[in-house]
Amino acid sequence: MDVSKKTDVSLVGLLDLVEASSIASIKGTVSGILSLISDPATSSFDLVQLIEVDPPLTAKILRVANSSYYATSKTISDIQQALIWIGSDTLKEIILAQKMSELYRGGTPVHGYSRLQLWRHSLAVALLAKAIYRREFGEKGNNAYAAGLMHDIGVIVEDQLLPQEFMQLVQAMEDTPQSLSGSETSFLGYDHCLVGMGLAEKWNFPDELMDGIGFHHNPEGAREEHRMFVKTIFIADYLMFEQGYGYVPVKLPDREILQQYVGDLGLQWYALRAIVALVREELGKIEQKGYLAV
Amino acid sequence: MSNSESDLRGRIHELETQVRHLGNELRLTREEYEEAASKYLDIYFNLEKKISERTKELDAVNGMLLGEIEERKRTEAEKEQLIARLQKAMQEVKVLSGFLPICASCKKIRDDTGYWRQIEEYISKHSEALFSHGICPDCSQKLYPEYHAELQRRIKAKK
Repeated sequence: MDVSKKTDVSLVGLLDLVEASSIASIKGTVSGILSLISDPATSSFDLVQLIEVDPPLTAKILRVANSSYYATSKTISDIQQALIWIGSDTLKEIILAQKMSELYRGGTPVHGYSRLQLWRHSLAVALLAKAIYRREFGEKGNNAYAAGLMHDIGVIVEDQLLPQEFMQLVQAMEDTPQSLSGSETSFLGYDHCLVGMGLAEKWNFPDELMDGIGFHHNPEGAREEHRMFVKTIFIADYLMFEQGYGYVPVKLPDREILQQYVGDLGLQWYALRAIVALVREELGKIEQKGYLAV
Repeated sequence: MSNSESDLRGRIHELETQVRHLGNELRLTREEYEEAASKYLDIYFNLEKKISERTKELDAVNGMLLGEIEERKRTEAEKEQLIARLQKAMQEVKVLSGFLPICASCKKIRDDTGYWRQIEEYISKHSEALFSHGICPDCSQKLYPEYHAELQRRIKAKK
């Protein structure tokens, strides 16, 4: 390992850079919507208030709500109507996705990495994690959706704020297949899990989500009460990479670990396969409708 | 177990899974539907409440406006009364400001009925003026020469 390659920017320094960068512009809306997602008792008026102060976001949400993907019979012209016709849970997901997508604009694809691919991956993991919760655990899985969408937020932070180092480490992965965390640690001294968890802590994300972001490559490190949740994110992340919804040429961890977590959650392979097929179909529809565009 | 038997078991597992998945989806969708319906009702009742509040406000403003209209009408009527009184007063002033036929000798005034009246009587009737009788020095000399000199001396001494 060539130590001279390491960046001068420490993890704390990088998190400070985030606060001064355009990434911080999503902080208010994202933190607000995440706390609404994790607290089902909030009123719909909090939701309306949160987004009405952001007219471009409101416009985007209405466009998505009126897209053929949600196919409501009625034209939705304000957030109140969206709330009624597509429901507050779905609306929260749209808001989170639309606000998050702002971070994935621009950038040039290099060495098998692109921001669009990363966004596509995040959305795929979000949908799969949620579907596992719904179909297998019989729960709504809104938090799983949020964690799926945000689990790699550390990657986009590195891409945006340490572009040179990030391109180098992606290049290194292309040359020698290895895990993303491994490559990040050798180039930066920390990985996207640590960056994401630091950000989640700084921005006061709910604990469950913080663990989902920080330990999605190492669920055993998460707090006991969140371990099943984080394992679900791990499984969704792993399976989506395997299914071609990755964003860098990674070397995936041993399948044995995956097998173990699938067993821990009491999942059966044929059940998982059915859910993955369903999510792939969903993603196909989303891509076809152009809903993925950032 | 034969191959076809294990295939069949596998298929049964798959179908059971599908049924379980769809059962979960159905239950969650039902819950979401109920939630949406209750949210819709919340919004609907909130709207109703807003409308009734707004109606009350409008009624209050309406009442205030009606009161103001009454007030204005009363002021208007008062004004008209005042104008009428003033007009009447002006008419009365006009009676006295017109030509008065007066006798060049006894100073009686002829009224609109053609009757000759004492000047005091006529002016008292047609104006607010009142008369208080006295006697001027010329008339006192002419009528009471015996007291006149003494009277003049006393007036001078008083001054």
